[in-house]
Amino acid sequence: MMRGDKRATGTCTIHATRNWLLSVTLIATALAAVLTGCDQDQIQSYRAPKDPPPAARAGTRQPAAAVGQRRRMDWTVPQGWRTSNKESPMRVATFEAGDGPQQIEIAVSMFPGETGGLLANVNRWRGQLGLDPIEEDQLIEHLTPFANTGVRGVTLDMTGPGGEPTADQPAQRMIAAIIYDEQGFMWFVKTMADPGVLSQYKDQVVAFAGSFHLHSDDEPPHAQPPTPAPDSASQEIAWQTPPDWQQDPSPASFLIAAFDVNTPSGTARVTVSSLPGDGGGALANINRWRGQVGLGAIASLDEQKIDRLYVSGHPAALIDLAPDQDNGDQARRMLVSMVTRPDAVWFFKLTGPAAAVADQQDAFKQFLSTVGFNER
Amino acid sequence: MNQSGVKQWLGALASLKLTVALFAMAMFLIFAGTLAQVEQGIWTVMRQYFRSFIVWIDLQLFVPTGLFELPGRFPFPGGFIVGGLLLANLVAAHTLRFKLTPKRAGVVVLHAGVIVLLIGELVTALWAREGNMSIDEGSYASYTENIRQTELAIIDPADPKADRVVVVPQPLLQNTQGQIANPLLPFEVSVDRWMANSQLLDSRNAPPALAELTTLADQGLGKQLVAQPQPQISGVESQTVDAPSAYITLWQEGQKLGTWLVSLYIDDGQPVEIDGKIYTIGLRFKRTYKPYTVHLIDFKHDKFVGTDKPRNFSSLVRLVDPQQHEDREVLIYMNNPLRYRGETFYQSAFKPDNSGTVLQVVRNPGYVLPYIACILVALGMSMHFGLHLHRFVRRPAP
Repeated sequence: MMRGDKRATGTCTIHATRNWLLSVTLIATALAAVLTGCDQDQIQSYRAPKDPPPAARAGTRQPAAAVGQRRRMDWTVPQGWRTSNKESPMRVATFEAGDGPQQIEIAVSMFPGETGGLLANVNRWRGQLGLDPIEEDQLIEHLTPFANTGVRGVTLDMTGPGGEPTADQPAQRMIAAIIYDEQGFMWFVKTMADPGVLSQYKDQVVAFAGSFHLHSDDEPPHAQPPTPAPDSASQEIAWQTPPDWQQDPSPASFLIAAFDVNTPSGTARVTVSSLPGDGGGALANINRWRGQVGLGAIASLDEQKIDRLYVSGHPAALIDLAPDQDNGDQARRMLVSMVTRPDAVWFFKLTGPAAAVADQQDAFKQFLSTVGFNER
Repeated sequence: MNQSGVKQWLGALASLKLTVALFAMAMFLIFAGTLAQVEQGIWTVMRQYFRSFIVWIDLQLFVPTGLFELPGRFPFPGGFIVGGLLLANLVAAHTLRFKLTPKRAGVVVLHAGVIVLLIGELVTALWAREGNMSIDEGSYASYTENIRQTELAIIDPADPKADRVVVVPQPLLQNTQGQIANPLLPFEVSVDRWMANSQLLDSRNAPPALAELTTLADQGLGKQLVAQPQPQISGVESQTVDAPSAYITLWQEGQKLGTWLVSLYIDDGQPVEIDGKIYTIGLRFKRTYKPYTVHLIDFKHDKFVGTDKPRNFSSLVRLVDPQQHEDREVLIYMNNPLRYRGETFYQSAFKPDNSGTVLQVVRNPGYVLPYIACILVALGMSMHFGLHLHRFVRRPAP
């Protein structure tokens, strides 16, 4: 019994010794780990490969959180506007024009990324005015595009419903602009006021939004930017048209250019337009065009034959939308080229009676080959 | 220390009173850390409260917003101390009272699970790394960026083959007292203003409150831009990250070289000339360079028809690793990450116009430990309660 007790005590001692050695080792390891882990906040020096050359990054946007005003945004403030000290999140600048009941406020704000895209923002504003949301294919009717150095934007003018304002719900009008800069930021210019008041300032607000451009290194600091020409979008593109194409002197506001071609089979029309960002998406656009020539919508781009080509060095798609069944002279056909540039999508369309489009399709492709973008 | 001294020491460490006190402290720490996330970012709170030895807790935290001002703060043990002591307490208790009998087996397994859980968090806190790799289509990247930490990079671009880079980590920049001097640095740096989150304004449009800052920088882009402090992204806003800015003054042998504005919003380095040598300085996300490069061949972003809702993102990349003689193409898409060299590359985001991809690169050597811990705890509880149930069922009827 005594020997057994002694043995038992001895075993217990050995266990206890092993256990505390184990526990001390465990705790010491944890402590050492904590102390070594905390040694990260030191100044370090190393050799690192150079970042990819700018050529490889040219024309691309940077991750929204990582970048910003590599180049400053410049604009021209119309005469008579005052700078306001009003601040709010993401607000870059606030201006006031007019006095008393005639006073309006113009807000400029900046957001990284696309902040939901064109349609979401337009519908958000329509909601503020009490207007119903619109669909993606209706968007283009509400926008007037423009482009300047490093930026591409649209202006829009919307008035709330109700006609005569009432005391509890006065009709409001909004003039706004959405501007994408090539550094990945989206800028908003927005003013909302009584329709009568705002009509006095419409031209100024539109001119102000249209003056946004990225600061060029050639400009001296704080120089007032030049007022862009109204057709500034067309200044960044050039082309050669066949001699029988007649330019439309007053195309719709969202078009950069339009040409009519008279053929023995009828008149075909060539249009050039562009939208910032992804232009609303390839599928939505293709389905809209398919509807215009009497074709049903498709669920996936795989269902549409798309030829790939390059226009002025940019990847482009060529889509031929010919109705399945020939309706004789009534059949309409559309040949569209979508050219994807870093900040916008350009649309070149040839539309008309199927025979007229067939007559002009070679000329249209030849026209595409002459398109050149003025790369800034 | 003799054996009885060790036992006494272990006895104190194994005290149940200490366990209760530590649990109370852990609860208070979590409570304060949760309140702090109303104003501060989740990762800032994580670092200050849970991955630190001591945290200074503001009294204002305990006053409902806008009620009144309560100045002052007090020190409190941080997560490393509370968690470390809990681990020591648990290990010491088992060292002293360890008995592997069938009756106690469940408790031992359960506590082993808790120990593994504590160690797992320690391993994650110390060695887990998470970064973003952002690549333009047709381009490549050889580093990841930690979007929760920044660094001041001073680059000597003279060598056409590679840059010589010196980085000053964010914790040193946050300290605006004194100068940062180091033999690795070509100059001394003092931080005049640190803004944990900011936006840049055109100096011409700066509100009067920023008048002092508009003239602070006398070099570089700070002459045209002004940084405006912004509230930190709080714990409830997960989609955005803080964009710090700082006004820094560079010195050489006591001579002021000038004051620059550096900001995460300025992604090109600003030149600094010293003795005819050009360096560039810039604030950027903390980078970790890799021995391999990832080239983006193609990025695809499919949407559901008629909506902006994404249906699929995928990145076709080429992985080039000269050390491992790897050169292969990999398609990374949702739920199909690339695993390479202990890191996992997930399809995380994309650039605004689909011109590039953002991959999340995660390395966590302790990722499996929480799973093991949960299994052990579940097993321990089942054993313990199963045994009690068994005994209860077999108890003779009264």
